[in-house]
Amino acid sequence: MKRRINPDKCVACSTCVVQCPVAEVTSKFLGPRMLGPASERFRMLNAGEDDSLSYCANCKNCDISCPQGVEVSNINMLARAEYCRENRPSFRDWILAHGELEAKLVSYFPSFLVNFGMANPISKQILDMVGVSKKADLPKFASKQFPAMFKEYKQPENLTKRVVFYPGCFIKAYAPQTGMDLVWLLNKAGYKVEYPEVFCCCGTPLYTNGFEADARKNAVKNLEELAAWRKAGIPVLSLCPSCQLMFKSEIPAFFPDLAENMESTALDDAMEFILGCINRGELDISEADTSPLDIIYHAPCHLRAQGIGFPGLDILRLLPGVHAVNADAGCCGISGSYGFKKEKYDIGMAIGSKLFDTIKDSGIRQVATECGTCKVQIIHGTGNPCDHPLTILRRRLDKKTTK
Amino acid sequence: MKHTTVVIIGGGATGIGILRDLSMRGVKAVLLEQGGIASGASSRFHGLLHSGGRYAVKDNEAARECIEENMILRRIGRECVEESEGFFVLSQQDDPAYEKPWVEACAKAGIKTEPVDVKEALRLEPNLDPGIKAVYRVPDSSVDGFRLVWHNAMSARRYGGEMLTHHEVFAIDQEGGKVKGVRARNLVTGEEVCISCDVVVNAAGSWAAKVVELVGLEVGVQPDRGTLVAFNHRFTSRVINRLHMSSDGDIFVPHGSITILGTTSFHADRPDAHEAPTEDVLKLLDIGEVLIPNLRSYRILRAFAGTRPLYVAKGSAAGRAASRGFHISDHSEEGLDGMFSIFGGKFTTYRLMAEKLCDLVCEKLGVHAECRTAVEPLIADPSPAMMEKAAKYFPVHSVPLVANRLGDAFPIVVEKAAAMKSNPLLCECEMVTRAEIEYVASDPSSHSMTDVRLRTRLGMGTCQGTYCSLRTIGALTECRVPFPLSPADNLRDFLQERWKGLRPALWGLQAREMELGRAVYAATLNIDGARDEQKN
Amino acid sequence: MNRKTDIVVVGSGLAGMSAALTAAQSGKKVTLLTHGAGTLAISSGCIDVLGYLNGVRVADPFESMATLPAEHPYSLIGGAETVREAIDWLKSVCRKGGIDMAHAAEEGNHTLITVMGTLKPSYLCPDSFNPDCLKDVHRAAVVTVENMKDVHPGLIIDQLHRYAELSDKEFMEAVLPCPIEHAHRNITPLDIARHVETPEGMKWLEKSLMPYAKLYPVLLLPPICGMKHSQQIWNQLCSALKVKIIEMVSIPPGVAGLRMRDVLKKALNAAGVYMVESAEVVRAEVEEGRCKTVHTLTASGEDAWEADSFIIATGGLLSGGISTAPGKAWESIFQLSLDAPADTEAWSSPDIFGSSFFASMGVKVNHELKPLNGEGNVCLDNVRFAGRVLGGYDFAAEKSGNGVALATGRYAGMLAGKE
Repeated sequence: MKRRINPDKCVACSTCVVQCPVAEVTSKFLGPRMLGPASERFRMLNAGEDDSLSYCANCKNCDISCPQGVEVSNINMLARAEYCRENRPSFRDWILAHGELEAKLVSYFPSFLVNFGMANPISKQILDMVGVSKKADLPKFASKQFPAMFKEYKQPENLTKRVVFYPGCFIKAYAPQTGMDLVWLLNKAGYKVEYPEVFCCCGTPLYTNGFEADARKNAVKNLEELAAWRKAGIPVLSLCPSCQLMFKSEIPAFFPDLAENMESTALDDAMEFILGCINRGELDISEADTSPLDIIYHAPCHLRAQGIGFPGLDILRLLPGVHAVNADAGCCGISGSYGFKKEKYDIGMAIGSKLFDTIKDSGIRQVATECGTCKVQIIHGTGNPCDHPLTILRRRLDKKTTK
Repeated sequence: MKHTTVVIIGGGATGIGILRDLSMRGVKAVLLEQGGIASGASSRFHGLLHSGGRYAVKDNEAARECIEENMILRRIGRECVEESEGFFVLSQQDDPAYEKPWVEACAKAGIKTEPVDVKEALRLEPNLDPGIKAVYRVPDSSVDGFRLVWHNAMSARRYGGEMLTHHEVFAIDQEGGKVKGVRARNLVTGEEVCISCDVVVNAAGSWAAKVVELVGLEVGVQPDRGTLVAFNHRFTSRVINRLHMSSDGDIFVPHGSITILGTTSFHADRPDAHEAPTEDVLKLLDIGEVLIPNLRSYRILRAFAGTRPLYVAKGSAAGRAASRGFHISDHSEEGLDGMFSIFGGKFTTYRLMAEKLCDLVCEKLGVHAECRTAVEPLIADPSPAMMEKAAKYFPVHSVPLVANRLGDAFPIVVEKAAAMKSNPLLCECEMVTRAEIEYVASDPSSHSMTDVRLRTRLGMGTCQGTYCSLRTIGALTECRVPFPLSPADNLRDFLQERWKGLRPALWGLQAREMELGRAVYAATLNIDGARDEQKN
Repeated sequence: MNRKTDIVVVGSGLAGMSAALTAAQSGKKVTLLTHGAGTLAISSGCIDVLGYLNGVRVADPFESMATLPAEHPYSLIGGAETVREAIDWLKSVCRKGGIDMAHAAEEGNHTLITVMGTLKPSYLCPDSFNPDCLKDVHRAAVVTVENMKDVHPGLIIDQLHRYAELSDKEFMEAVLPCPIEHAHRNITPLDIARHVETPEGMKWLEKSLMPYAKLYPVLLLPPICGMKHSQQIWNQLCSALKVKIIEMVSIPPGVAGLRMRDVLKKALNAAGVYMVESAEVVRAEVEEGRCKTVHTLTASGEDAWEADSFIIATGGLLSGGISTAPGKAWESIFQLSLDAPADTEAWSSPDIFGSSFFASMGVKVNHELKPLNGEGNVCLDNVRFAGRVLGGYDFAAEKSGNGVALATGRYAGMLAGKE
């Protein structure tokens, strides 16, 4: 059965058109309202799909800005899934959607080889030919991926409380150290961390690139595992705002039958959890490094869409010596794999330019953000260092790490 | 003085159907309509192309007529009919004892019914109440009444038929017991026209009694108000009927992007009782909820009403119980030769009604041509090449809609769009472009933005005119389409007309939309304040 | 999650942002919860204070304030003095953010020019909308950009000529070539304004206006003179072309509203206001006449936000601060009844622009903007309402929307800030 979202709440006020970062920088995009609720009224007539549907970055700013609560981006994503059922997505989109599989493959090879293989001019040319922009800085595979790193890590033995960690693809393949920072912090707060390897990609890149069936398979697997831990009363934490959003609101929207039997499909937010640890006194921050540090914080769109505020920023602001400002400059332009695509690269960079300028104008070096691909884009656009707030927290707490 | 053979009074489905039929038989005819084409009941009903299932038990003859005409209209009016099929659903509140006689009566009338497993029905129509008890498939369909009448008009024009809209007949002249001609007033310019003729056909629907009053006669037409509710989106794929003795609020008809729920049946004291009271809307929601439990969470776009021209023979039943059959009066029986009245009936059988009447008229005139309205399509299908060309200048979702709406004029509008530098979407909700609006506005039958709305669906979608009306009046002023009213008055009238439909359901999501409209037109553009400050 | 702060403001329209900024400037910790971007972003960006009273045009909005009924929000908060203070405050906030706001040359309202070719009374507008210069000239060009479907000079000129004071002026239609090639969607003033914000866009506009500037001393434009740097761009264009440019008030997206929202949003961030988006407040916990927490709905449940006091600026019918059902109307968070007639048809007048009950339907408050119950007593002691959620005025007929939003938002923020 075709999934439909009732477009009735849209009053055509045009707020989403005003706030859409893609529409702001390119007139090739028909815009969120027209493709979303306006076209949705006609989709049952099967009259075809507008070409510019692929320009939607699924950044969620339409949903964030909509005063009426219309799920604009989900309407677009469902339409894209429907379109892709009839029209196979490109090889390029397959590559960008199946990063997890590729990461698994490359984990068998030394990373310097892989990264050289990806970054050298010839490979870049080949990637460019299939449609990955050669101007983009693709994230680099870590020399050791998270599963291997976690396996080797010895957690303290006297820990009585338990939590589960859902790392997500980015941390698994590209930023395992961020995951290990969380493990370290949780250990310090008295929690033993479990990492069930059965957890797989949340499905965001799959769904947004039109691979609905693959996204569904993953959702089935993930929800089953999540339900088991939930039954045992053990929280499942995630560091990635996009994974969180997928579990929390996109899975119920895309696969309502899967979500039906669960009270909530949401993962727990690791930043909220750590903030709780600090507030409960489980994680002592009084011993933290107090040297002055200015930080400019970028709130990922997928975090803003969750309506929980900025627990990562809250944590930074609790740290003595740290002065953290909110960049509040909108979308970075990357939207997962969107900004890596050849025809979207310039759009992504144009979207991000406001953020890049804000960071540069602030005079602050250290940038913080929770989202992995936002981080890649910020480094690419500014050259500034950018870290996960929890990495910064660990640095301030862990006497062993060098600044 | 103008001469013709037949003057037809009334530009609804029946009148235009008669104009087409006569023109095709080679009889010269002029049609006079006091408003716009199809501005009465022909555009003020739920747009159901009856299978006849609804009448099978009570009036088997009417049911047979329905199914036969239904099949004809699918052929000749493909652009106006969505071949969506229909369900008859036995709800938890309906009497199961009705099921068997209904199936038998349908069979007798020649209506194919097919039982559908309830589970399968719920899969096909997930918004139906899970507690329904039985479902039958019937050949119901939705029909765009307004468009069907227009396509008849286009066909009639091709055969030389003539129409004068916004012409109110104020006198029917007679001499020696025989009609001689008709006098009418152009309501836009105030001019009077005189047309001499041999035959006058009164096809004025609910106004039929008023027309025969002009010659001092009476007919048994009783206007009966039916209120309908249009919802903002399509929530069923097919027509949904209740499987019971036909009653109020028991039909859902999906049309393109919207769904219509109808109707009520109340005695109306005048033929233009087009205001839909809130009371009717609430009643419809109460009843509609039996089949569609989430009904109240859907947004009502507008409520509207039409008056059925029910034929009530002296001493017989009125309202819901009145016959849906039609009736032709040859007024020569009352001493006026050359005058016919036709009333009653249903939209679905308009063609048959026209055929029967034209047979009588032709007999009187001594014309022996056969009726061909059942075999010849109203308009020719657009060529695939034209559709492909249109896709370059119209939004992808709208191409088939535009082609169906425009009929004969489609190639003209496509060429027009191709010649324009750009063809902006003036109405984004119903996807109406500037080329189409300019073309329709310059048609002699268009005198206001409301006329343009009726033909294009401009302003009939989500925003109910909030954005498109400014754009349209701007574009039309720019290309100097001569409307009698000033741009601001035209806009105010257009919004006022929309307001009429919003008021009876002014709550929830639609109240939000209405407040946006006021923010734009009153708060931002001050067209309320400007009323007294500008010369108009 | 449960976060505690001094003041929670709900809503990020002009009322909510004014309240939050005022409270934060008085030293309070402020959290602003918002569901959607508010209506300021799509509005005209001009501050209509009071244009009409009972259908009659007012000469001076502040003088007329004295004659408003007692339950009008302006009357409740102290009338002209309070409103003037709020306007001066907004002017200074906008000036810091790069937009100069102009009063009319003489006492009273501007008559702004709209893209419909109508005139609208408004008290305060960005410099670029100030129409005063039109009075001194006889000729002006009315400019649009090719393919811009919201702005038609032919209509504007036809309409302007219907006003006695403009009937003898000579207007000329001017259509600039569209600078955005191969646009897949229709172009709005916002698209062009954003383009003009870029160096090549600015160059395009200056070059395209040049021939008209030589012939006409005044140019009427859609609001396309840039976004963030609109003031500079407008100044630069006027001096380079030696003309006066008047931007016209446009329908959503209104451009100038977005410019102002960006300025206010920046000011909020700088003042330390913690703004949470996608946060729909669905209910509140009330104990002994005081609100303890408001609750937002998230996919995984509810979040509670605790504060000493609350300012509710959730908007009216359009934005959801007021909910309606057949025969019923209530404030959406605290479920305060709005005493709507049971007969829904009695809510509205048969004339679309007639006087209707629903138009001034809203929360009844005292002079401190605290809500009153049926007996006229304060029912929530630490809650204030601001903006369109308030009853007692009709923003559309009076042309007082942004004026009431600003003045009541600012006033609520000041009172809460003092506590």
